[in-house]
Amino acid sequence: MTRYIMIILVCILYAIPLIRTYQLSGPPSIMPAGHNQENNASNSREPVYLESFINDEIDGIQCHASSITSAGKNRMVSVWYAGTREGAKDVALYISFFDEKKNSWTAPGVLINREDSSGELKRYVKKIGNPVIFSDRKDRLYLFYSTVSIGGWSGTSINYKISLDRGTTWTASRKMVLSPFLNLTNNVKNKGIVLDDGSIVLPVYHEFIKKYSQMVRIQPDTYEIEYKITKATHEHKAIQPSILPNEKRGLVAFFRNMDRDERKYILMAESSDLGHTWTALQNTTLPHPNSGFDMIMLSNGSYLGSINKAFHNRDNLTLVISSDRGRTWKELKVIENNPDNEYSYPSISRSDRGLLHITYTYERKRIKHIVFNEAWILSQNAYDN
Amino acid sequence: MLMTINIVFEYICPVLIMFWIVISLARLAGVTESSGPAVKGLLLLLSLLAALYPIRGLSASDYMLSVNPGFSIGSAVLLLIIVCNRIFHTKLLTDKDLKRFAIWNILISIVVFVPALGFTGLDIYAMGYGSYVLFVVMALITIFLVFQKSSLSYIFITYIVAFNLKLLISENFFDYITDGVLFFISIGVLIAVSRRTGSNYS
Repeated sequence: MTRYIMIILVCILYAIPLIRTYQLSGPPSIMPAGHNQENNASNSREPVYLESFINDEIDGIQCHASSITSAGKNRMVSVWYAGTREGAKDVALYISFFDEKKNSWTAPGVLINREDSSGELKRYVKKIGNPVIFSDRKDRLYLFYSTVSIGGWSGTSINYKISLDRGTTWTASRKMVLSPFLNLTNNVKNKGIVLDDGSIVLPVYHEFIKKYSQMVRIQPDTYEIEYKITKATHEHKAIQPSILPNEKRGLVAFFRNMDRDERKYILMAESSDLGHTWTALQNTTLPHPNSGFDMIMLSNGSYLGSINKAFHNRDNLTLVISSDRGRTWKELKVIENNPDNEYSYPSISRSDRGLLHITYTYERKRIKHIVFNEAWILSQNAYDN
Repeated sequence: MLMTINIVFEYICPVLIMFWIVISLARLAGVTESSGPAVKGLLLLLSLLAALYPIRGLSASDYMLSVNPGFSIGSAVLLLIIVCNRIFHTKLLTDKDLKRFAIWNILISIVVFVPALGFTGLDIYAMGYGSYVLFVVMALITIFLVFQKSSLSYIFITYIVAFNLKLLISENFFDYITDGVLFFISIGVLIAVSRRTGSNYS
């Protein structure tokens, strides 16, 4: 008799998660590009193209891996890491805000350093790395950043902080558990896509032994998040995905190519179910020196990318544009081209006013910022064949 | 509230590991064999202190959690079995069931870890978020164990109760079943039990 009661109990207990999973709710879809922008600067017929630096050069200090996003009306926020060298104990994440009306950056401040991260997480943090920042429909800011407790970058795990006041104050860091084996290993480079139900698809990548990309589906709560991770690629060469909307429930992902080929190209894959499943990888026509890049969808559905357009070096940074969802690309502007120097790891974001902002590593000494509008893109004859 | 439960719960395994270490060291020194409950209590207190007292901001438990951020329910159960055996000489599982439990831990770990580390294209770990197949299979295994009147059935019921109560930070059922440390401890337990039972039979 007791056994039968136990069996009924077991059935009920295992039914609970299944009922939770299959709760009736409509599938989310993608927010249209620039859903929250005001129609002024973006629709301006006057081309705008401006350049500036976020931080000053300091002797012996390197900076890298910037990320930029909108932080409310006429305001952008950028984060990056800086220290004596990549992975050094003095590396910290820095933050600065940009006023679009004044066209000026605030003085950079430390957002979090290794010791504070360790204190907040209650974990040993050996080094601190890539930050990614982006905002959702409620103007909440999410910061995802990587830390390492043991080993090198292939032992990275991801942590997050949330700001409810557009970057002024932040919650304590929380560690994400994304792998069953000692949480090895996931890292971030590019921002996620916010869906119409408020959930987020964040692209991440695995680097321990084998290299592949994954998608984290995030359900935000006020001060914390729930998340689920699924594989995106199975071939061991595609990392640091940049994901863009395709159709209502479609995504296109472009990947950094870690292949050993002498002549590599940026890889792409498509999903028709919001990133649950992906097509096999295929080469784009974009030459690639195994470096980070970022892409964004413009208001007319074209894709804009900021890449190192070369097979071997990071000494040029180029804007490229595609009007056919990544199948063919046209060069829009060479932003930097200076042999033996590094211009890398760009991050692209759109402001509430529709201006496009790019930040990137400038010779590892500074973070450079360029801002332009879609009128400027038109003025470059970007869509002519 | 849930977050507090998660945080308290994640320290259970590191504390049990510290108990295991301290008791093993004391046993090597011959302390527990000849000492009464007062000394054992003192050792437990010492273990608790060693596990939770922070030095330069982090305790030994925090360092353990830095290496393995997600101890599973399986780990908690196995460590409890080991610690109870060491301190109170109480066997919560027979050697036969302990061996079966260790084999289960090793097998399920291999099934989950190998694809998660990228050695196969399968995405077994993602099934842990609510795959119909996984929960049905686990329910059938649990029912089978109940029919067999196996003590392991209680462990399997503990997995799903803990998962429904969201005792761990992870939303993934596999994180309730196994983790990296459990895999290695289970290999050690399997070897130790096999030697013990082997020498008993010979």
